[in-house]
Amino acid sequence: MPKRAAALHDALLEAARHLAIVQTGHAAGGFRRRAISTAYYALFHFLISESVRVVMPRVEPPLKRWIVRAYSHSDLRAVCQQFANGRIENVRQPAQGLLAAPIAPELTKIAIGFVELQAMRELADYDLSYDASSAEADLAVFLAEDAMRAWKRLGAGQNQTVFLTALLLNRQWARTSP
Amino acid sequence: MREIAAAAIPDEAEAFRRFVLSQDLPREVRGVSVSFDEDRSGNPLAYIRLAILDSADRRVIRSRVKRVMPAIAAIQQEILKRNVTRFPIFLIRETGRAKASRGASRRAA
Repeated sequence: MPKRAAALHDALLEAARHLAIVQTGHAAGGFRRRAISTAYYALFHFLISESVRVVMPRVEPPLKRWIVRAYSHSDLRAVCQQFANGRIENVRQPAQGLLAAPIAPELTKIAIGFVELQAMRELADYDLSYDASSAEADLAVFLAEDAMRAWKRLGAGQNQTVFLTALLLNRQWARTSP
Repeated sequence: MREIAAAAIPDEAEAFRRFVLSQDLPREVRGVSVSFDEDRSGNPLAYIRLAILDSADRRVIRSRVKRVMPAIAAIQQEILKRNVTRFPIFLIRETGRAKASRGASRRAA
């Protein structure tokens, strides 16, 4: 029986770990930049994968492939920023009214990790003056791993479902909510 | 930063730095500096640079730095609980093995 391929987020996280290990050589800085960027994409695809699994559980792969493209970096960031300090009043409507207090620390940890990783990825991918340290490459891998572990500890729940739905509908909700 | 503003500290970056220093930092952290910036969408960011004690053995550095990471995540969560307007982003730089005491090198940072 052929071996089943790893989920994209798992494969990316593994790749990020390998990239972060490279310490020496003239290309080490490039490996560190790619480690940071790849760790970010691991968490990006993990959250999208969880969102599709929970919000649209019966979707078959051909359709799923196109639904996944509807998620955007800026929407994920906007939602994660709303959840990052753990205060329900910071979350925009209608999500705010659907949440149950309190927001679990694990959920804020995931949100913080995503925003932090996206900022690090912006530096790693676009800032020519940025000199990525090996510690930052390790930090990026840690943040992605830590966020995924936190998500698994959280399990299912109303707040998690609202969060995952907001990742997809953030822009539409912003247009329709008061 | 609501609490620090109440203490009437004029320099927001210095206030951020002091807040980080007041947290339970791992002993590997030798210095903290803060600068402000914005991302491409104009969202305000606070770059918090931590200087981490270096060593001649690169393998030792990585294990030391990895010990610091859970503390960084905890500090970031503490900062955000205070309803800051700038999202804190931690950057890490390794420094040479410092001879000065931990307190002295932190003051110099």
